[in-house]
Amino acid sequence: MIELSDTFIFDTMLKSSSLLGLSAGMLGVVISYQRRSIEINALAAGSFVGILVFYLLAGVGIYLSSYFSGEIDKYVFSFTGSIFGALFMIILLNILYKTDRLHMHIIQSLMTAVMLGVGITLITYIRQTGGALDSGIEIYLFGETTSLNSEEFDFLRIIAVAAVVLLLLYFRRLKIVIFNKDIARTTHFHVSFYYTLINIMVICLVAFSIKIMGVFLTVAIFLIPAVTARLWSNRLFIIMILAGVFGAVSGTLGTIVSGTLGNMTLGIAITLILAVFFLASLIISPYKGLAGKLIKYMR
Amino acid sequence: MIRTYSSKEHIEQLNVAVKCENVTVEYKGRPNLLNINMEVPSGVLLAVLGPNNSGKTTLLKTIAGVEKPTAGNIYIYSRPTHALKNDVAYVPERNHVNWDFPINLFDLVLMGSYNRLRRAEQPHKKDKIAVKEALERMGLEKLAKKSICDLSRGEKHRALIARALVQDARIYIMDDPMVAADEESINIIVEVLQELRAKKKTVIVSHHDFVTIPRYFDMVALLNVKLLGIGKTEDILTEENFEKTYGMSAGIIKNIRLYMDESHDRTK
Repeated sequence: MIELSDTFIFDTMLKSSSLLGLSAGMLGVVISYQRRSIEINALAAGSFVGILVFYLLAGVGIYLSSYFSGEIDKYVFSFTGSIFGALFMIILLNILYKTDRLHMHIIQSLMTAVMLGVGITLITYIRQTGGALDSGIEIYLFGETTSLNSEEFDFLRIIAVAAVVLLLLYFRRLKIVIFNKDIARTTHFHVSFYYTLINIMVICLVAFSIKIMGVFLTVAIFLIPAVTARLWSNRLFIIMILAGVFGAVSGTLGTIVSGTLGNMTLGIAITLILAVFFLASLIISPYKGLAGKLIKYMR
Repeated sequence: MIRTYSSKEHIEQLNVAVKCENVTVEYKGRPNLLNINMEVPSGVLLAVLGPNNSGKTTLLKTIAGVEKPTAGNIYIYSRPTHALKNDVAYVPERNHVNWDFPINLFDLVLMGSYNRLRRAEQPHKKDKIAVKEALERMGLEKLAKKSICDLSRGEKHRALIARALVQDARIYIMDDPMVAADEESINIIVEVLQELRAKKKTVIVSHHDFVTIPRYFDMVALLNVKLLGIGKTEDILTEENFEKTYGMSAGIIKNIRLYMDESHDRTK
């Protein structure tokens, strides 16, 4: 449970979770229509491994800094590791897609499993040998209510706002690019530019999401809002706005639940709130709701 | 790069809508298209014929600028494809489109106007009027608010063509626009193709129905990785060319000839 003295931390986390929910929810709509849903899992796993590798490097850094009487911020190492891990994974996935040997979903699942295996091995190694470094690595498994410091929050705020602005600014062009690449190319839009833009946004948001949601549940904040919003509308723009709202509200409520209960990690709390939204929508939504279908069937 | 010509040559070039020079497209070291040389005059309806995996879709995509040739050059009205702006409207094969995409028919057709709009610019009234006209022309005006996933196969074909009409290009490239469509849709599509020709637009279509080719198209290109023939329909649809392209018996061509003669008699 968060004490009164921790109000600043709680406030920071509340804003972080809702901003992440807003931007990841909106971006999740784009990702899901690119049929790259499972890729988020692979990117989170890659990011996780990146963090752990940089933790090990930080260990060396801290040793050296004590030798030279300097200071190295562990957070800088973990965030850089997270970005590099996700970037490495996206490059690797794109190389593997081009080989055309396996279906992209198989490649994504395979790489997720491999990276999680490597990550668990590294985390075991760090726990056995890390000493002081050992503290805090659990937050990357399921997220943590006090995981972001104020510098990280500032950075998240910039990334999240930039992602939302870019998604709205380029909405029409992104719509045609994700609808059909060939039509977009003959309309003379630079498809590779928009793909790169989407990838940059995904990498940055996954890097933050892994601290708030954890490696296993990062996919939830990207995809559950998108799927829930789809149950309420048949228009892409409304779906994107609704997904952002579902993500932001879930982030806020999840932080409050996690902070109040104390024994529930942030990732799990947000995912459970998202699941409640999804189940409620599945039952009561006007387009595809089960209740509506049942009433129609009864008539 | 814009080519310059002497005045006589320039006039000749203006009449050529599409020119392929030694075009080869390879995929994983295997050629999908090999050394294609052809010229498509302006204002004709050209059918591209060939068996499965003969490179029809690759040829259409390469002309449209969707795929880059491994070797050779393509010129659209004597300009290279990468320098095009609004010269080519492409209609993809129905199966290559994600029909679960959450937009209604009006929005899909409105996409044809996007290349005229700046980044955050909203579609103008004239764009929406163009969409309504295209929908009316394709017989889809009553379905404007319908989600694209609820359209029938024929309606999906017509919707993609309506989007291309809004683009108002000089060349229309259509990949199998009539395959598995209902008769009403085929009739509307054929009428639209002929209207485009009347407006001096060039239309290149991949097509499978041999019997209807003489009725619908002015020119035929026979393709089987290599270009086996291109020219007027009656000159190209010969038994010899057919056997070269499909490796099948000449019986089919006899039936087509019979059909052509019958339709010729009917017009008389």
